Amino acid sequence: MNGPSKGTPLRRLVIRVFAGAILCVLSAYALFTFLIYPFYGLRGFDREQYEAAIMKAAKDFAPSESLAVSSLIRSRFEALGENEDAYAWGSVSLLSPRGDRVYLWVSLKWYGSWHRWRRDSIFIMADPRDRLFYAESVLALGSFKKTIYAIQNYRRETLRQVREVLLDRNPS
Amino acid sequence: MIRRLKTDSFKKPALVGGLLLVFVLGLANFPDFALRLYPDSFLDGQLRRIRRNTIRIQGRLDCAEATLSALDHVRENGLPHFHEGFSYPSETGEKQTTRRVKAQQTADYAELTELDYLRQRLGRLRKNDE
Repeated sequence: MNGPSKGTPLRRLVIRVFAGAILCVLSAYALFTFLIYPFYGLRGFDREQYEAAIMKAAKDFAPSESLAVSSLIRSRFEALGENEDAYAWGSVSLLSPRGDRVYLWVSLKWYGSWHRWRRDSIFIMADPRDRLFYAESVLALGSFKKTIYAIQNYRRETLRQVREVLLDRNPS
Repeated sequence: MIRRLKTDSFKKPALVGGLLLVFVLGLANFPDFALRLYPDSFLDGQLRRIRRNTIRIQGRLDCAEATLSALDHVRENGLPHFHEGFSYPSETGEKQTTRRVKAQQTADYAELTELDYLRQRLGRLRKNDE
Protein backbone atom coordinates (compact mmCIF):
# COMPACT_ATOMS: atom_id res chain seq x y z
CA MET A 1 0.00 0.00 0.00
CA ASN A 2 1.33 3.40 -0.97
CA GLY A 3 1.15 6.23 1.54
CA PRO A 4 -0.91 9.33 0.82
CA SER A 5 0.58 11.76 -1.72
CA LYS A 6 1.96 14.84 -0.02
CA GLY A 7 2.59 17.00 -3.11
CA THR A 8 5.54 19.29 -3.77
CA PRO A 9 6.96 21.40 -0.90
CA LEU A 10 5.74 24.61 -2.57
CA ARG A 11 2.22 23.27 -2.93
CA ARG A 12 2.22 22.14 0.69
CA LEU A 13 3.44 25.57 1.78
CA VAL A 14 0.70 27.32 -0.23
CA ILE A 15 -1.97 25.06 1.26
CA ARG A 16 -0.66 25.63 4.78
CA VAL A 17 -0.51 29.43 4.34
CA PHE A 18 -4.01 29.45 2.88
CA ALA A 19 -5.40 27.27 5.70
CA GLY A 20 -3.61 29.43 8.28
CA ALA A 21 -5.04 32.61 6.78
CA ILE A 22 -8.58 31.19 6.84
CA LEU A 23 -8.11 30.04 10.45
CA CYS A 24 -6.83 33.50 11.44
CA VAL A 25 -9.79 35.25 9.78
CA LEU A 26 -12.30 32.89 11.42
CA SER A 27 -10.66 33.25 14.85
CA ALA A 28 -10.60 37.04 14.56
CA TYR A 29 -14.25 37.04 13.52
CA ALA A 30 -15.29 34.76 16.41
CA LEU A 31 -13.24 36.80 18.89
CA PHE A 32 -14.79 40.07 17.71
CA THR A 33 -18.39 38.84 17.46
CA PHE A 34 -18.59 36.87 20.68
CA LEU A 35 -16.12 38.58 23.01
CA ILE A 36 -15.08 42.06 21.92
CA TYR A 37 -18.18 43.68 20.45
CA PRO A 38 -20.86 42.49 22.96
CA PHE A 39 -18.92 43.93 25.92
CA TYR A 40 -17.35 46.89 24.12
CA GLY A 41 -17.85 50.24 25.88
CA LEU A 42 -20.05 48.84 28.64
CA ARG A 43 -17.36 48.46 31.26
CA GLY A 44 -17.81 50.49 34.42
CA PHE A 45 -21.59 50.42 34.56
CA ASP A 46 -23.10 48.87 37.68
CA ARG A 47 -26.07 46.55 37.75
CA GLU A 48 -28.34 49.42 38.82
CA GLN A 49 -26.99 51.76 36.13
CA TYR A 50 -28.87 49.93 33.41
CA GLU A 51 -30.36 53.09 31.90
CA ALA A 52 -26.91 54.64 31.55
CA ALA A 53 -25.66 51.39 29.99
CA ILE A 54 -28.56 51.37 27.51
CA MET A 55 -27.83 54.98 26.58
CA LYS A 56 -24.11 54.24 26.18
CA ALA A 57 -24.92 51.33 23.86
CA ALA A 58 -27.23 53.62 21.85
CA LYS A 59 -24.60 56.40 21.73
CA ASP A 60 -22.06 53.92 20.40
CA PHE A 61 -24.53 52.55 17.88
CA ALA A 62 -25.79 55.86 16.46
CA PRO A 63 -22.65 57.09 14.59
CA SER A 64 -22.29 53.72 12.84
CA GLU A 65 -25.57 54.45 11.01
CA SER A 66 -24.99 58.24 10.70
CA LEU A 67 -27.63 58.93 13.35
CA ALA A 68 -27.70 60.97 16.55
CA VAL A 69 -29.16 59.99 19.92
CA SER A 70 -32.21 61.97 20.99
CA SER A 71 -33.68 60.44 24.18
CA LEU A 72 -34.47 57.28 26.10
CA ILE A 73 -38.14 56.48 25.61
CA ARG A 74 -38.68 53.61 28.01
CA SER A 75 -36.64 51.00 29.81
CA ARG A 76 -37.22 48.00 31.98
CA PHE A 77 -35.06 45.99 34.37
CA GLU A 78 -35.68 42.38 35.38
CA ALA A 79 -33.41 40.36 37.65
CA LEU A 80 -33.30 36.63 38.32
CA GLY A 81 -32.29 37.25 41.93
CA GLU A 82 -29.94 39.25 44.09
CA ASN A 83 -26.39 39.33 42.73
CA GLU A 84 -27.48 37.12 39.86
CA ASP A 85 -27.99 37.58 36.14
CA ALA A 86 -30.27 40.43 35.14
CA TYR A 87 -31.80 41.73 31.95
CA ALA A 88 -32.46 45.31 30.87
CA TRP A 89 -34.05 46.55 27.73
CA GLY A 90 -35.46 49.73 26.32
CA SER A 91 -36.12 51.84 23.29
CA VAL A 92 -34.17 54.94 22.37
CA SER A 93 -35.14 57.67 19.95
CA LEU A 94 -32.56 58.60 17.30
CA LEU A 95 -32.48 61.35 14.70
CA SER A 96 -31.22 61.10 11.14
CA PRO A 97 -29.28 64.02 9.56
CA ARG A 98 -32.49 64.97 7.71
CA GLY A 99 -34.41 65.08 10.99
CA ASP A 100 -36.31 61.80 10.59
CA ARG A 101 -37.04 60.03 13.86
CA VAL A 102 -35.88 56.45 14.18
CA TYR A 103 -36.39 54.08 17.11
CA LEU A 104 -33.67 51.83 18.43
CA TRP A 105 -34.16 48.68 20.50
CA VAL A 106 -31.46 47.91 23.03
CA SER A 107 -31.40 44.74 25.08
CA LEU A 108 -28.61 44.07 27.59
CA LYS A 109 -27.76 41.25 29.93
CA TRP A 110 -25.93 41.55 33.23
CA TYR A 111 -23.62 38.68 34.05
CA GLY A 112 -23.64 38.29 37.84
CA SER A 113 -20.41 36.32 37.88
CA TRP A 114 -18.52 38.70 35.57
CA HIS A 115 -20.08 41.96 36.83
CA ARG A 116 -20.41 43.21 33.28
CA TRP A 117 -23.20 44.28 30.94
CA ARG A 118 -23.33 42.57 27.58
CA ARG A 119 -25.26 43.53 24.44
CA ASP A 120 -27.97 40.94 23.85
CA SER A 121 -29.47 42.65 20.83
CA ILE A 122 -29.43 46.12 19.36
CA PHE A 123 -31.26 47.13 16.21
CA ILE A 124 -33.36 49.82 14.59
CA MET A 125 -37.07 49.11 14.89
CA ALA A 126 -39.07 49.26 11.67
CA ASP A 127 -35.80 49.68 9.78
CA PRO A 128 -36.59 50.28 6.07
CA ARG A 129 -34.13 47.48 5.25
CA ASP A 130 -35.85 45.10 7.65
CA ARG A 131 -37.33 41.83 6.45
CA LEU A 132 -40.64 43.09 7.86
CA PHE A 133 -41.02 45.44 4.91
CA TYR A 134 -40.68 42.81 2.25
CA ALA A 135 -43.75 40.97 1.00
CA GLU A 136 -43.73 37.22 1.74
CA SER A 137 -43.63 36.52 -2.00
CA VAL A 138 -40.29 38.34 -2.30
CA LEU A 139 -38.56 36.55 0.54
CA ALA A 140 -40.44 33.27 0.35
CA LEU A 141 -39.17 30.18 2.14
CA GLY A 142 -36.63 28.36 0.01
CA SER A 143 -36.20 31.38 -2.23
CA PHE A 144 -32.71 32.20 -3.47
CA LYS A 145 -33.44 35.87 -2.86
CA LYS A 146 -34.02 35.09 0.79
CA THR A 147 -30.57 33.53 1.12
CA ILE A 148 -28.93 36.48 -0.62
CA TYR A 149 -30.89 38.87 1.60
CA ALA A 150 -29.86 36.99 4.77
CA ILE A 151 -26.18 37.00 3.74
CA GLN A 152 -26.30 40.71 2.86
CA ASN A 153 -27.95 41.50 6.18
CA TYR A 154 -25.38 39.52 8.11
CA ARG A 155 -22.51 41.17 6.27
CA ARG A 156 -24.00 44.62 6.79
CA GLU A 157 -24.49 44.03 10.52
CA THR A 158 -20.93 42.73 10.96
CA LEU A 159 -19.50 45.73 9.09
CA ARG A 160 -21.67 48.03 11.18
CA GLN A 161 -20.32 46.47 14.38
CA VAL A 162 -16.75 46.99 13.17
CA ARG A 163 -17.64 50.58 12.24
CA GLU A 164 -19.17 51.11 15.68
CA VAL A 165 -16.00 50.01 17.45
CA LEU A 166 -13.75 52.03 15.11
CA LEU A 167 -15.89 55.17 15.31
CA ASP A 168 -16.03 55.15 19.13
CA ARG A 169 -13.36 57.67 19.97
CA ASN A 170 -14.12 57.90 23.67
CA PRO A 171 -14.29 54.34 24.93
CA SER A 172 -15.13 54.06 28.61
CA MET B 1 -4.93 13.08 -0.01
CA ILE B 2 -7.39 11.34 2.26
CA ARG B 3 -5.70 9.79 5.25
CA ARG B 4 -6.92 6.38 6.26
CA LEU B 5 -8.71 6.11 9.58
CA LYS B 6 -6.47 4.29 12.03
CA THR B 7 -8.95 1.77 13.38
CA ASP B 8 -6.35 0.01 15.49
CA SER B 9 -5.91 3.07 17.74
CA PHE B 10 -9.63 3.47 18.22
CA LYS B 11 -10.44 3.66 21.92
CA LYS B 12 -13.47 1.42 22.20
CA PRO B 13 -13.75 1.30 26.01
CA ALA B 14 -13.55 5.12 26.20
CA LEU B 15 -16.36 5.45 23.68
CA VAL B 16 -18.57 2.96 25.51
CA GLY B 17 -17.77 4.61 28.84
CA GLY B 18 -18.56 8.06 27.43
CA LEU B 19 -21.86 6.92 25.99
CA LEU B 20 -22.77 5.24 29.27
CA LEU B 21 -21.94 8.42 31.19
CA VAL B 22 -24.10 10.52 28.85
CA PHE B 23 -26.92 8.01 29.26
CA VAL B 24 -26.69 8.03 33.10
CA LEU B 25 -26.49 11.85 33.24
CA GLY B 26 -29.47 12.13 30.88
CA LEU B 27 -31.43 9.68 32.98
CA ALA B 28 -30.57 11.56 36.18
CA ASN B 29 -31.91 14.75 34.61
CA PHE B 30 -35.17 13.11 33.63
CA PRO B 31 -37.93 14.57 35.90
CA ASP B 32 -39.12 11.17 37.21
CA PHE B 33 -35.64 10.33 38.47
CA ALA B 34 -34.48 13.84 39.35
CA LEU B 35 -37.52 14.45 41.61
CA ARG B 36 -36.54 11.37 43.62
CA LEU B 37 -32.78 11.86 43.59
CA TYR B 38 -32.45 15.63 44.19
CA PRO B 39 -35.93 17.20 44.35
CA ASP B 40 -34.95 20.59 45.84
CA SER B 41 -32.19 21.54 43.46
CA PHE B 42 -34.15 20.13 40.50
CA LEU B 43 -37.21 22.26 41.33
CA ASP B 44 -34.99 25.29 41.97
CA GLY B 45 -33.37 24.78 38.57
CA GLN B 46 -36.74 24.46 36.87
CA LEU B 47 -38.04 27.61 38.59
CA ARG B 48 -34.95 29.53 37.52
CA ARG B 49 -35.36 28.28 33.96
CA ILE B 50 -39.02 29.35 33.90
CA ARG B 51 -38.14 32.73 35.42
CA ARG B 52 -35.43 33.27 32.80
CA ASN B 53 -37.78 32.31 29.97
CA THR B 54 -40.50 34.57 31.38
CA ILE B 55 -38.10 37.52 31.43
CA ARG B 56 -36.99 36.79 27.86
CA ILE B 57 -40.59 36.63 26.64
CA GLN B 58 -41.44 39.84 28.48
CA GLY B 59 -38.54 41.42 26.63
CA ARG B 60 -39.82 40.07 23.31
CA LEU B 61 -43.32 41.39 24.06
CA ASP B 62 -41.99 44.82 24.92
CA CYS B 63 -39.96 44.72 21.70
CA ALA B 64 -43.05 43.77 19.66
CA GLU B 65 -45.04 46.61 21.24
CA ALA B 66 -42.25 49.08 20.57
CA THR B 67 -41.97 47.81 16.97
CA LEU B 68 -45.70 48.35 16.45
CA SER B 69 -45.38 51.95 17.70
CA ALA B 70 -42.37 52.43 15.42
CA LEU B 71 -44.42 51.06 12.49
CA ASP B 72 -47.23 53.50 13.34
CA HIS B 73 -44.65 56.27 13.24
CA VAL B 74 -43.43 55.08 9.82
CA ARG B 75 -47.03 54.89 8.55
CA GLU B 76 -47.64 58.50 9.61
CA ASN B 77 -44.30 60.00 8.56
CA GLY B 78 -43.00 57.73 5.84
CA LEU B 79 -39.79 55.73 5.71
CA PRO B 80 -36.80 57.54 7.22
CA HIS B 81 -33.74 58.52 5.17
CA PHE B 82 -30.55 57.49 6.91
CA HIS B 83 -28.08 58.92 4.43
CA GLU B 84 -27.64 59.75 0.74
CA GLY B 85 -28.00 56.84 -1.63
CA PHE B 86 -29.97 54.84 0.90
CA SER B 87 -31.63 51.86 -0.78
CA TYR B 88 -35.22 50.84 -0.04
CA PRO B 89 -36.95 47.53 -0.51
CA SER B 90 -38.45 47.17 -3.95
CA GLU B 91 -41.73 45.69 -2.79
CA THR B 92 -43.33 46.51 0.53
CA GLY B 93 -45.99 44.55 2.33
CA GLU B 94 -47.30 46.86 5.01
CA LYS B 95 -50.36 44.82 5.95
CA GLN B 96 -48.32 41.65 6.20
CA THR B 97 -45.77 43.48 8.32
CA THR B 98 -48.27 44.49 10.99
CA ARG B 99 -49.96 41.09 10.86
CA ARG B 100 -46.64 39.31 11.36
CA VAL B 101 -45.67 41.43 14.36
CA LYS B 102 -49.12 40.95 15.94
CA ALA B 103 -48.99 37.18 15.36
CA GLN B 104 -45.61 37.03 17.09
CA GLN B 105 -47.02 39.04 19.96
CA THR B 106 -49.99 36.65 20.34
CA ALA B 107 -47.67 33.64 20.35
CA ASP B 108 -45.51 35.31 23.01
CA TYR B 109 -48.55 36.02 25.18
CA ALA B 110 -49.62 32.37 24.89
CA GLU B 111 -46.16 31.19 25.90
CA LEU B 112 -46.12 33.61 28.82
CA THR B 113 -49.47 32.25 30.06
CA GLU B 114 -48.15 28.70 29.81
CA LEU B 115 -45.00 29.60 31.73
CA ASP B 116 -47.09 31.30 34.41
CA TYR B 117 -49.17 28.13 34.75
CA LEU B 118 -46.01 26.00 34.99
CA ARG B 119 -44.57 28.28 37.66
CA GLN B 120 -47.75 27.98 39.72
CA ARG B 121 -47.69 24.17 39.35
CA LEU B 122 -44.06 24.03 40.48
CA GLY B 123 -44.81 26.36 43.42
CA ARG B 124 -47.64 24.06 44.49
CA LEU B 125 -45.40 21.00 44.15
CA ARG B 126 -42.79 22.59 46.41
CA LYS B 127 -45.46 23.49 49.01
CA ASN B 128 -46.75 19.91 48.98
CA ASP B 129 -43.21 18.63 49.54
CA GLU B 130 -42.76 20.93 52.52
